Amino acid sequence: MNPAYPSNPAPPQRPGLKRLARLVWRHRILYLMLLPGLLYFLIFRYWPLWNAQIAFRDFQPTLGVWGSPWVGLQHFLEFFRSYYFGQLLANTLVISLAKIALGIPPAILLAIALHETGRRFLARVVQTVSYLPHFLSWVIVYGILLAMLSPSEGLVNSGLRALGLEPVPFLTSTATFQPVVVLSEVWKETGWSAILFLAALLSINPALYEAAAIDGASRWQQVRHISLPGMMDVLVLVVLLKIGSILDAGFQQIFVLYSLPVYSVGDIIDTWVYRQGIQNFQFSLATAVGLFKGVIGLVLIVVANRLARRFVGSGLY
Amino acid sequence: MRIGFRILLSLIACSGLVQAQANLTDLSVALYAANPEAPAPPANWEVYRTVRDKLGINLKFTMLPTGADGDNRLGALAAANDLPDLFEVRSLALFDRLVQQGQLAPVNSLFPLMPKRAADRYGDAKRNLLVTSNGQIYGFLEPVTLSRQYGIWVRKDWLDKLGLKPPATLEEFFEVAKAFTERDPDGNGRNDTYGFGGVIDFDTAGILPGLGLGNHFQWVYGAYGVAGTWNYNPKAFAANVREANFRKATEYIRRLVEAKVIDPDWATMRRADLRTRWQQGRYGMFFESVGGLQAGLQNFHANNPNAELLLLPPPKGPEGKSSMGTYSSAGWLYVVSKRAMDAGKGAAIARFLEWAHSGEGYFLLGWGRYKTDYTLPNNVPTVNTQIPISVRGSYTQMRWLAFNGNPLEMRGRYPEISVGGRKYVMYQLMAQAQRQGNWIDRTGDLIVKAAPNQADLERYVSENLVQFVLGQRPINDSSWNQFLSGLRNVRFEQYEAAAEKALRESGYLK
Repeated sequence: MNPAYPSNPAPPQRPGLKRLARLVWRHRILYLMLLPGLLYFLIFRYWPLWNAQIAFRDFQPTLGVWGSPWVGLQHFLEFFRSYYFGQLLANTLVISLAKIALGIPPAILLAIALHETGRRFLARVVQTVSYLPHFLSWVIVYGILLAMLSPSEGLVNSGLRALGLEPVPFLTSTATFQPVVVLSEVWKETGWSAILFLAALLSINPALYEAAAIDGASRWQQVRHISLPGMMDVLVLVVLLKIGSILDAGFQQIFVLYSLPVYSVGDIIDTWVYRQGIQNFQFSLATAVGLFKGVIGLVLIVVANRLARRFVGSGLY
Repeated sequence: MRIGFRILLSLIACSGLVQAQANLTDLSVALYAANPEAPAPPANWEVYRTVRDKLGINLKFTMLPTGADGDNRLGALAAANDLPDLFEVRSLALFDRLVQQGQLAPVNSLFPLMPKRAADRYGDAKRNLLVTSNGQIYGFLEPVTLSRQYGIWVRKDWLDKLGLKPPATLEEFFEVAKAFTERDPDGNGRNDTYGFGGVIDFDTAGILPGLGLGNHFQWVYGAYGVAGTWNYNPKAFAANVREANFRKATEYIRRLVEAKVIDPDWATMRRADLRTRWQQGRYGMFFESVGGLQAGLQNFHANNPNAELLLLPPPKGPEGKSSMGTYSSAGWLYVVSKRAMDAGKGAAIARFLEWAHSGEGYFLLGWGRYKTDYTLPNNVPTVNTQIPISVRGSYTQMRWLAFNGNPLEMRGRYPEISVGGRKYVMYQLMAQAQRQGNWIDRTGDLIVKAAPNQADLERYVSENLVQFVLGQRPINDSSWNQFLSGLRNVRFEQYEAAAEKALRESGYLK
């Protein structure tokens, strides 16, 4: 006996909206938790993008964003045609790349050292002390650096003088300014950056270390073959995020540390924008440069992510 | 019946109160802090009550941080189209932009509403020209009450100890600075003193910095006759940086640096660092204002018990010229937002400014609480120094609206003080600094608009000069010519041409 087939079969259910609604309702608590984050991004990240159109307008507050006249790419061209554009870009990239290249290895080393030590109390003390500088403002760090590096009364130069050597103007010499910027950043942020790597190490299954130890692996071999590969995902994540903000070389730090004698090696895009855009109240220009930085950062992060997925096997998304 | 009567009375009282509230004009005023070391006035400030009761104004005062932070805050308010009703502008670049954008109101119509203040303060047509656009005056530009108060101070006790005379020429200055650096003038057996202390500073309080190394080194350029940014030569107008003597002055500063008679930290130090160090007794000569000296004397004498200071006349150059620098005869600038004027607040603003000009308003704003913050012996306002400035100062945060620079006021602000067993008559020192500095009036500089690429232009000149004086670049014909020809890259010619046009049109260059 044949089954009774309906003469008019019901239309197939649309899997789209209804199913989505059911899914959302099923996981409503998770979506509720997501809501504040989403709102944050909508209000503080995406809504300002609408106002970023002033980069293409001659912004007049009385006319508002919408009423200000269009000027096309004028502000972008003004930036690109600045006498110092090439130098600003070079300084920004050099300082940024140096901070990535010299900042990440010490953080990894510190994380491994903290992970490897058997003395938990010592590890906790070292960890706390090492990330304390992260909470110091750059103004305070400037004071510390001046006390250390000042040619007239700095600790380092007093030592050099005691050895019969000439004092070195670390903060006003074009040869030493960039190293001071990079190393002071490394000193300030190493402890804080190590937290992520330490978290990655703590997530590695301890059984791997136990098995390796039973197989006769030395501590170094365990680090080499278990710890470092175990951190790779986090390392890729950190590097990709830093590449995305490569045109942010650290405005606060450089603004506090730089001075006229070292503008040629210390002036970066953000300090120029501060002087030309903010102090001269050219907000459209400042926005144009901000957009430029954002677009470059986006392109870099997409390219770097593809490269990471291809060569390392993991990426941001 | 009795209850009904009471209700009726209450209603009448309430309606009166509502009427009084309705007649009040809300007025937001934003000024730069007159006393940055003190907080804003308290909520129960007598001024708020007096202004409400007598002028019908509900005053809301906002204090702006001094320096670039305050400028930036105003810039942000302007971008949000949320400017206060009456506010102070110290950045001329911001002023120009606000006028261009139509955010400021012309104030010509308010002068008749404040006859005394307008007559005493805003009658100078040439000064008003600095804030005039399309025939309309866009701000209350005050006459300067305090300027030219800077100078070079020398340690007379060190001079006496080393058997030296106060230097009168650049050459003598160099020799004295060298002796102060090398001959242990403080006698502590250590090589820890310097001949001169000055920093790269572009503060415009009372003097105008020239394009380049700022105002602490203008006396060197003054000795060569090239102080300030422009040469004001009607036949061959140009920036001073193009003058041959400008190079010679720069070479002199380099000599000071190479001889190590200037604190080697000078190029990175801030004004606060300089003040700390002269108060510690590190310098034989230093550049400082009379006000800055007054504030630091207590510390200075605590650290240097037998010290004595002299105010030097500006050292003379090889051709006998001398000048401590340039100044402007224009003082603070207050402006009215267009929104306030459109809302009909002009009359209230004029009422408030007129009240601040003299009598009760002048004393309340300028000097604070009578018999608490100050007294009036022989009509000279005398500050009660027993109350620390951190307390007293909050009651005089709006004092610049009131002060007018009359002699009694100056005696009150710069009194005779005794510190470390020495007597300082500050108002006399002020007059001496103004008189003997050979200051050059360059008020016209203020009419020159910022170039579109002002930041690049300023950086180019200042950076090159500092590289020359620090020895990072040699100074010779080739390098100097290279520097001058490089001015083209930052479109300096256009800036010069615009400056000449503005100065000629305004009559400052004839």
